[in-house]
Amino acid sequence: MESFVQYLVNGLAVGGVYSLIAIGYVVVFRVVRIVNIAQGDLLAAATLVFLWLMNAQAGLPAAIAGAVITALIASLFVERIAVTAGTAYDELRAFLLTLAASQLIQGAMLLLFGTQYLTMPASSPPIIVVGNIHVNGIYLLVTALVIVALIGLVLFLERTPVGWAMLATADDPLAARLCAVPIRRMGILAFAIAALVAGIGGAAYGAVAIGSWNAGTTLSTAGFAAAVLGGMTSPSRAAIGGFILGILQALVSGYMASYLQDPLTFVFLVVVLLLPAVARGLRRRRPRRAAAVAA
Amino acid sequence: MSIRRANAWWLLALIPAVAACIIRAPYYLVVMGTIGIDAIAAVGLAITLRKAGQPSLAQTTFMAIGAYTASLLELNAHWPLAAAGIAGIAVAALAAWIIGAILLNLEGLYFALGTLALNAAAVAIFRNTGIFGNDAGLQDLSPLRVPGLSSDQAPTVVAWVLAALGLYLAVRLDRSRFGRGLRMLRESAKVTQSVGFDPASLKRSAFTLSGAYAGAAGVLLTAQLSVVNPSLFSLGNSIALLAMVITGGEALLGTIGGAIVIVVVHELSRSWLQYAPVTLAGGIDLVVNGLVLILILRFWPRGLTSIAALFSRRARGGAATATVAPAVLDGVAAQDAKPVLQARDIGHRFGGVYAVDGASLAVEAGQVVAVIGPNGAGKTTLLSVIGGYHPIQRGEVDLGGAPVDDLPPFRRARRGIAATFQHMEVVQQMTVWENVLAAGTHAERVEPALAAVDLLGAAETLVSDLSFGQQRMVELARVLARDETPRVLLMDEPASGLSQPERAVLAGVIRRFAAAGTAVVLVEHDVAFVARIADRILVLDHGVPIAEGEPQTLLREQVVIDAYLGSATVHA
Amino acid sequence: MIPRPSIRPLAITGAAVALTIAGTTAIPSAQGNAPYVIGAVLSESGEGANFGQPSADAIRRLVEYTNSHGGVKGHKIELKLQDDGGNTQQARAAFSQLADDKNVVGIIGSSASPASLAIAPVADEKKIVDLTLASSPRLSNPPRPYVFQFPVPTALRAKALFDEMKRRKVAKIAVFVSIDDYGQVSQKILEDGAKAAGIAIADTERFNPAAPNVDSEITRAKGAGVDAFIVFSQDPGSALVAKAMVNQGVTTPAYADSPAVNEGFLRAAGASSSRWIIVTTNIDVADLVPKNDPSYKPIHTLMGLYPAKGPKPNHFSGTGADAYGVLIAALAKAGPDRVKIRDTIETMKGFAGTTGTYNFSPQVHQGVGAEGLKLVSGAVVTGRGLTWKLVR
Repeated sequence: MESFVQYLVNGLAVGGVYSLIAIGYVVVFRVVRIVNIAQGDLLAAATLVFLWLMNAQAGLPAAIAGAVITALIASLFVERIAVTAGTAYDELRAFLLTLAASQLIQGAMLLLFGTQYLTMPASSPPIIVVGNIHVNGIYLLVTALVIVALIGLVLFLERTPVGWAMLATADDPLAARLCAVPIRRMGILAFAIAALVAGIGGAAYGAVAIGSWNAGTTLSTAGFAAAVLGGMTSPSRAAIGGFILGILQALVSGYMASYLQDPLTFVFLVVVLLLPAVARGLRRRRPRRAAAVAA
Repeated sequence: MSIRRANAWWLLALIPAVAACIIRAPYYLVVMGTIGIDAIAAVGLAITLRKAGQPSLAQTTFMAIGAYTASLLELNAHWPLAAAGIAGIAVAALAAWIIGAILLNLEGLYFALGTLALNAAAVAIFRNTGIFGNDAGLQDLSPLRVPGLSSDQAPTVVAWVLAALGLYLAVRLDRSRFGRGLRMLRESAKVTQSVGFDPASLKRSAFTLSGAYAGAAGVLLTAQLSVVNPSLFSLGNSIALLAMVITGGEALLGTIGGAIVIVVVHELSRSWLQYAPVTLAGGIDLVVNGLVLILILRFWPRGLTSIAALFSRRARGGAATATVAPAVLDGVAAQDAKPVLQARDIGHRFGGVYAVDGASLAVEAGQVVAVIGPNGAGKTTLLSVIGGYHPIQRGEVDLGGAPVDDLPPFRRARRGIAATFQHMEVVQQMTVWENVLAAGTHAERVEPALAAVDLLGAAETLVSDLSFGQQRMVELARVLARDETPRVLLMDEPASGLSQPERAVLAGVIRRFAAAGTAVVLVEHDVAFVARIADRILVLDHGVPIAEGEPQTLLREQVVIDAYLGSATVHA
Repeated sequence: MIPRPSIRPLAITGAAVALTIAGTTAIPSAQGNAPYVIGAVLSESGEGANFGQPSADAIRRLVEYTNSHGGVKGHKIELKLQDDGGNTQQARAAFSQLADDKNVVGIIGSSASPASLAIAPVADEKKIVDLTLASSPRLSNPPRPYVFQFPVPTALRAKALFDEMKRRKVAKIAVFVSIDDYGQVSQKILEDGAKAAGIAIADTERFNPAAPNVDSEITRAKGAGVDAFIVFSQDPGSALVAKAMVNQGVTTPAYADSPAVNEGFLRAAGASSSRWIIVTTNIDVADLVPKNDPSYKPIHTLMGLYPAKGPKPNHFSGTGADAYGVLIAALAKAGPDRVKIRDTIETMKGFAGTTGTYNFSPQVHQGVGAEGLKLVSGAVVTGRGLTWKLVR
């Protein structure tokens, strides 16, 4: 039981970061119908810049600002590449363009920071001990901050007119145009919000984990799994999906084996993707009519 | 067929095979071999992506399955390379068949993401499983040997011979009924079903086939490298294969060109980057790859096919215009049941609103029944329920006395229900000839059918180049060209958008069906047209049948006039 | 390329690390000599970039150094270095390309074991030496005619750690290995080594060094009640373990293999790095190497090629430098003849490199032993903050 609680706590902070990535996916997907697979790379880039500034003694506010600005530049770059693509409306092409953007961002990070990984400057984190359970105080702080950011974002998207207008754009672009919603600007706003969460997430991830040029690949897939878990359309459910995934991974590492974490995440992702199809299949199956059977 | 030219472009793929017999420089042979192997996998991917519209990111996973199967059989059971290779291809195809059954429930982008997850999971499993040699993989596999060829030449020559063979098979397949079904499926599942194809089975067959191609590529890769390890089958390589198909564009030969472009660009950037002024060449490598992909995707969406199209456009002009006798329909086999089609008490709701509520319909062989009513009366929904495109919620549909309500549309189509649709369903990216042939298996039926709708001269034209009315005529010809004359024909507003002469052709075709014994159900707004052609009329309003009878009497009834004038109080 | 007339005969032997080779006399020659071309296939991007990149960097700097000191026998060195992106197919294509080039006298690479294992048979077939920087024992056991291996064998590094554990009376350990070839091979080696040392393995964790954290693995391992942890992982695996140990209040000593020796690890582990004992080679503790050590000179020559500010060479750089040095030494002795170069390397004795002294023979193609290994630990030094201190 004690180790179970410990595993839960272990998964919290990372789960919070997954939540932020998942929200980035959902916002962009809702508004422009693009699965932006570079979302994890935005966060990884923000993490590196954050840690680099922290190690250069720039101070926490400057480091966070640097992280957000980095993510913003990268995210708007992805928007320019993927959203205005071609004339045809093609989800797959846009998806592949974000994949290409992901490679570009990783390459840029490798050029700028090299292969050396970065962590927070050495200091002793406050460790809270309850019985046999150890909790890094930073984890709790990060989790709390992530939750605050998540709530703010979910409220903005689901409870304000601008948020509604954004989400409505995706559901019916024509209707949105008729209601004078500036579609392109909404798309840019979506990528900006995705960048904001990636920037905050980058700072959070830097505080609890390790920054490296290629961390984005793992983060992108995990965040995407979380977004799908939440149904890909609801920011609040995506956020919950992130926490579930983080905790699930911690439990897999704890009770099964660490190396199963990745394959199981992906298998889990496939299962979640398939659930609607399975449900559809169940609904379609209706009992044969009695008359026909009798005849 | 005189119109169909035999296409021998696939023979071009044999040129590298011949060249590889002469070239001696091992590096060029290795690169050529790599292109050949990738080309095989990419053509397989093109079948499932370009033809069936299923973007798979797991093509390298099936390569891996083929490669590991062959390698393990060779190392542990000492099978000869050829036998192990064939087993590898078979196992890869089987795996694709099984995995396809699961993942093909996903559509479009979600399918791409599902296969992405599959690829990542598979790599993780190969890396961590002892029998697959873990991350280091399996070594010391016997290299491919061909008498008279050096060890560098052999895999390259074999790869390109197989690539040519694979291309030939794929082109043949593309021209077959199966291939036309696939291309139809990419544009519309509905029309595919209406001509009797099972979309699920089509997709699965295409995916299995692409798995077999991948398996062959995987086996060749191990034969070329003498090793197999998980890094060969990474997601990055799957993306590269996808890039090859996209670079190639629509045509299958273009896919081979795509493989050449992508591998050569990669090799050049790799060779040149050693002169990069910074020490972090790796970063530049990633940037270059990303940029190439972006440039192709953004600025060259039709890919290499756009070059080929310049030539084939010109060739398409001179289609045959010989006079062909219009189609004569076979008589429908004698029917036991009196009404061929019987729908009883059909009810269908969207959300809480009934679109159809308690409509019944009985149509006898050779009879034309029209369903009319104001907009939103539920006419189209009724046809969709009869055709099976909406799952039945309430009521019963019998065809020839047997219930069909549990059958999916393609099974109803196979039992003799044909359909034309309100939102015209023709495949824009296929020629008229191909669109019509997709309905059946007899090529000789196509020309008479086209003649019947005055489209013989446009046989080789892409449907997207036709006028709206002509496209409707294609839809009509598709029904005429069926192997068997349909027992029931459902037509949803066939006259809308047609010119007067086209309407006359339409009326003639409908009469011809009736004469052959087909039960025709016609939904139409044009009351004059209906009055001319229908034997009986059913009037729907708000989903409820309000009147039924012969045209002359019925159209004078007050309820019908009221319904059309919109005094919605009438609920007889 | 015109080599400048040679002024300093001693330096003409080429690379800094080749300075100690006996019997290689330089013959200053006339202008117009064609350059000697050496090839390299290294992972500058992709998964192996963490160790391929430092090696590539060191080799590039050494080529420049050699050329600025007159080249080899009056011939400049030309480097054809290709990135394999950690990909077997690319490594194979790059190696073939270099092997096809008649001017290339020998090839260094690759950095990762899977790619090296795919290259090795080609080297034998094309009869060109492959100086591999990868650590898989399969690369030199049994020896392949044209393949020579440069890293200190993993088993020797593990043994150095187990010897230290025995001295410290460690009886029960938890093993952490990364889920790649290096970790997988190490797991087997650690199991054998622990058995030989009479140490029990209570828990084995195979983990992904790219994971966000390994807290849960530590939770489980600490439940096994061990005296020590041992980590054999690619970067940043050791840093992950160190962070997780701090998070969970685990104060058990920890042992790790050389990838852990870097700035990032010190930062991640903080003060807890003093509880870590890490096996590495001389170059990572360059300041602590005595002047009379044979590796002193090669190490400091290499260090001198790096700017005062910025990243310093590490043991991956050192291994790359040693491979380059051996190739240049053989080239100086045998001339640009692929087979003669192979024969020269196979009989080379006493080559002083940054990692230790290399001795090859027809039976031994893995040239360096344990004598250059050092055990280090993190320490806080006043005025310098966290740094490395020599344990043994």
